[in-house]
Amino acid sequence: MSKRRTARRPRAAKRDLRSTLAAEAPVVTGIATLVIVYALQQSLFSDLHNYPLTLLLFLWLFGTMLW
Amino acid sequence: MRHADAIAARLGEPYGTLVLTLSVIVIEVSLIASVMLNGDNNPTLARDTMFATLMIVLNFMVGLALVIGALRHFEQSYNLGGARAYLSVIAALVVFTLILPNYMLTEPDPSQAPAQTLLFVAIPLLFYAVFIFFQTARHRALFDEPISGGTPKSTRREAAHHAPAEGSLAFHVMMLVITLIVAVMLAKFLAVIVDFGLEDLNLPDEFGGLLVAILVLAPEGLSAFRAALKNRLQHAVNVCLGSALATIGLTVPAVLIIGYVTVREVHLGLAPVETVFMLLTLFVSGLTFGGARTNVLQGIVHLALFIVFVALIFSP
Repeated sequence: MSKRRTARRPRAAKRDLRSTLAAEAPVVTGIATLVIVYALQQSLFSDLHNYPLTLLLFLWLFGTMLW
Repeated sequence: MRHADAIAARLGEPYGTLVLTLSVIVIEVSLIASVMLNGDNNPTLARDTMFATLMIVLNFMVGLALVIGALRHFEQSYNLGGARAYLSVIAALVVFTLILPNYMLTEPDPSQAPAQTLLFVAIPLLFYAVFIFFQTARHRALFDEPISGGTPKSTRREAAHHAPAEGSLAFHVMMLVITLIVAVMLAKFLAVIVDFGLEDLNLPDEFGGLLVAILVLAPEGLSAFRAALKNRLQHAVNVCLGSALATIGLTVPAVLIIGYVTVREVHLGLAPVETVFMLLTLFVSGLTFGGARTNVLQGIVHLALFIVFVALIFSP
């Protein structure tokens, strides 16, 4: 009985972590976006005259902030 | 938004709306500061953003909330005393911070003189503090949903639907702070694109203000429209008028302090056309919230004013 319980715990913990991550997807995405933008800012913001890319970048940041 | 809502659900009205409003103001100020400090100085950006915020809140958000509420529920009621309290403070602060500077003798704007900067920082903060005390302590009931013949069905359903979200209050506060920090840091990058767009595409400065205001107000707008659909007009009123008040009461002091510290000019006085439009909006808002019930016509009038405001940006 007790063995079964201990076997279930890690699975339940995994499920909890997964559901928490799913619920916090906007924050996780925001942090990931921030890391990516900080790491690649030289290349991402070097040619803003490339309008399609700039528009895409704007929508990405805008969408992440709104989410 | 989810965490602000969860905190709101635990704290109840009016604290809930207050948390939502303050979160939005943090993002608004950080966006304005980022655009202000990025690229060429744009001394009217803060003013344009505040004006655009007021137009979006008082005309677009109020108008659309009233129209969709009226289409679903025909007529809606709200707490008259609460709306009047909001409007009286908003009107006084709007005239003081956005219209009066044009008629004072200091050049180019009274906010450039240190003593008057102090005045323009202190008065809105004082107004806001007094209002918050009024709203949360002395006259809390004025900002609750009106109850006629028991709790409305939709409100009861809504309460059941809004069962407290999982997680403790501390967890939601922590997550809200993290979310705000991420949003503020992302705002810095977004400001680079906005500034580039304004300069490279020769878009009017006012458009920058409108863009920042849309970015900031989208979550509150959705919250207000959802509340109007569910016949919780008082929540929509609290969100809309609360945002308008916080924009003036908190953003003006914050922007002036940032401008003073970073030695950037900040002009507060609206242009003549904007002044007329602002006064017209306040007058119409006074009429809309002068009766205990709202209908579709009032909403359409506000939406029409918003359309004219957008048209004037591109064709002044």
